[in-house]
Amino acid sequence: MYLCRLVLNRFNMKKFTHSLLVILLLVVTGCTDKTPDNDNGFDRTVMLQHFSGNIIQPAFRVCAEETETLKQFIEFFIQNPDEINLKIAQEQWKRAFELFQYIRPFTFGPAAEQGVNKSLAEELGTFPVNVTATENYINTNDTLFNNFARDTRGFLALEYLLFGNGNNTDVLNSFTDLKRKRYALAVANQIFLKIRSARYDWQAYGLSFVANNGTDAGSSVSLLYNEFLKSYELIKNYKVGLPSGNRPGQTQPEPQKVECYYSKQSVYMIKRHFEAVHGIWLGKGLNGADGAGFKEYLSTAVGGIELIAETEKQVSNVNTVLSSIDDNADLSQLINANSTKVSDLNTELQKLTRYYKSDMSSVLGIAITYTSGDGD
Amino acid sequence: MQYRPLQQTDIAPLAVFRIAFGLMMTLGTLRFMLLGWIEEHYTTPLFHFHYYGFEFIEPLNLAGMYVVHALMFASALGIMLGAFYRWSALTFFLTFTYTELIDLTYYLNHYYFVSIVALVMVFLPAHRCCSVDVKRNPSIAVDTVPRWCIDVIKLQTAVVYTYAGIAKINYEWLIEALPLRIWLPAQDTLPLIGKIMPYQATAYAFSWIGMLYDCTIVWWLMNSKTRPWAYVSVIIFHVLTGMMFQIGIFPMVMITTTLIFFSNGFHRKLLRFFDKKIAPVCAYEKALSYAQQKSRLAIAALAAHFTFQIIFPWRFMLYPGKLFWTEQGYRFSWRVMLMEKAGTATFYVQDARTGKEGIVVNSEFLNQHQEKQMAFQPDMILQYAHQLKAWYENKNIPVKKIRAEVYVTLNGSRSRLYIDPNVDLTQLYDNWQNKNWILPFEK
Repeated sequence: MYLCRLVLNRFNMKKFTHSLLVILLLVVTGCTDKTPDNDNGFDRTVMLQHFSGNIIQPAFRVCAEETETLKQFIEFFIQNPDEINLKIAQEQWKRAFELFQYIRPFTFGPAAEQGVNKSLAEELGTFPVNVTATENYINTNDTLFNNFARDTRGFLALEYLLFGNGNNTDVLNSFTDLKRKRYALAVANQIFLKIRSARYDWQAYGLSFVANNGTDAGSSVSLLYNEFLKSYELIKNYKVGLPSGNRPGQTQPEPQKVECYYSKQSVYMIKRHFEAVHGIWLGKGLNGADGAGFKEYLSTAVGGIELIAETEKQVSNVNTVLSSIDDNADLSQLINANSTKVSDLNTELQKLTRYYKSDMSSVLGIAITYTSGDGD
Repeated sequence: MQYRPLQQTDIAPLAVFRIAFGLMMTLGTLRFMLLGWIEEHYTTPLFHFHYYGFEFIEPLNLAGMYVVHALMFASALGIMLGAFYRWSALTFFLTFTYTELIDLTYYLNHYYFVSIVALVMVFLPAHRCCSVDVKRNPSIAVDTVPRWCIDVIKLQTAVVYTYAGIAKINYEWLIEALPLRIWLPAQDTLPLIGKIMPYQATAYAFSWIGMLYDCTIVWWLMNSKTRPWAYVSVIIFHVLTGMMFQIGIFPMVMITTTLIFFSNGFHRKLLRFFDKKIAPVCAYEKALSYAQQKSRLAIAALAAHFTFQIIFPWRFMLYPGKLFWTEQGYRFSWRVMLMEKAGTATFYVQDARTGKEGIVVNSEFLNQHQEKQMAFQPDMILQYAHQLKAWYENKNIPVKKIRAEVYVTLNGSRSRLYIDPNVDLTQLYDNWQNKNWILPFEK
């Protein structure tokens, strides 16, 4: 104790502070120009404005418009159930579902879970369809959707109703049933209403989305990032991995679990979905307008440039495999045929994970997972 | 000059500390419950990561966990009020430590600090002044206590700060200003100082000041001349870090704990705020006459405790490789906010029936927090593999082998393979020995 006193008494506070400042100055001047950090930082507000105004809201708008048309075409088909009207409805279903892939990753704000409702992506995009349960609701004339069986409604239940076994004559025959007509219309109507309401809610939410420009848990950037990642993992794990039989315990592939099993549009929709997901990374929307995205954000971070290069290389590997598969190829058949293209797709998506996942969040310093609990 | 642990000193600092600590713990427990973390941390997850040597600790069901937290809350309140003090302190220590031991995911150095302090407090006569116990039984009131009762808190605080400071003396922290160069730019929306956050110079300044602060703050607090300024810096430092990082009640705990360094007179004044009857000047009348035997025992136990505290953080030197990378000897050593580390871990389970490897979807077993922590800590990776094996075998899926492809990034470095991707994790068991299946950081 005495010794400590002695040391402290002899200690000259001023000298200490001065030498401290000198050390700091030396260190700072010595190191400032060594690394490529961007001292201007990154303006997240600009990025959020770009996303809200040029990417997310336009995507919701177009999707809402196309689902409204879908609803009208189905109404029309129900009144005039012939093959031409069926084909028109089917084409419009493809168009609407294609656009749904572009709003799918934005599962927050107006599209987030609310009360008993799951996120918009889950409410309308659940697959595979539970055929037995769906037929049961049809037969009991239950169009209230007052249940949690999300695999009996949404885009993919509608797909099941419109495409059936792939034979349009059979589909037309099935639509002689008034109950089936009612159910199809109710499903289409629910899709439209949910997307329309999310679209209009976004007009108000957009302001708070842009204003919430921090990086902590719950900030817009962290919401955007988390849902981007989840959407990517949905493609990898559920659209490709699970039907391929990639899970532990699966002794064989389960091709009937692909998305769009009835319309054979699985590959096309995966391509669109991946484009939407990587569009978030790029800051690129449906109309092709490229602005501030995570790529630009990364370019200002420590180690960001290298990460961008590696990510883009791996994304191009994924795209090479994707473009080697025909848009209209039947994914379930490819899986059944043990196609190497499918296993390549699994492999390349798997390799992409770390770039999107831990590398990116770490470098950006975004609070990703600490929504529960503290750090130290 | 000799240090005399039995020399009598005013009890006031100890009483203030008791009240402050009790208050912080009461608020902390309440916050934890209100945020819904009992469910998120303990009852929702399918798997829990056990502490080495505490594999038998399991969470109770939801009702049970609420009872535990209600007890924790009540006992923290008991500490604050000095009501049934020894039982309160003991109950708090047991309930708090039990909940911390449930899942390694949520390990925090300041929880470790709280556990230590709570245990020490069981043996301190902190309720013998300004407390409900004294109101109920005035004969237990004392004005003075042996000085080791106060110094033990000071010494523990000194250990925390000093080791946190020493840990910052490394190449990355001081010369590269990492991880602050990664973390600070994300803080550019802070009021007032947000604007300077993206600058490299800010990261360097914060790194150096942070290191010097942690290494020396205890000395400035001990010297009465520098104390007021030191305490202002304590407040600024912890408020700032509290705003920047999600570290919960830790800043408040340290701000209140460091009050212990203030003078007896200062604490007397504080106490009079709570209890008008407290004598304005310490009368030094009724010294707490601990039986000599008891005090000796306490001092011997504390000597052992602090020997452990001082030696244990250095155990990392017994392991080869880079500490930040292997994390062998990282925990329980006051290494706080030292590195930015993250990983992506893909587990491959080989089915003994088909020989086929299946890929585990981690989110089906772990919450986000668990997955994040697991993905860059070798002992957790190993534990997870064992839990997966048990889970699949329970589902009648025979497991031949489990391996993991783990990519980890450290302080913005490009991510690289973390462990041997071919090693069968089910054949390995955690122990104190070097984990030679961790790949070196250097390429």
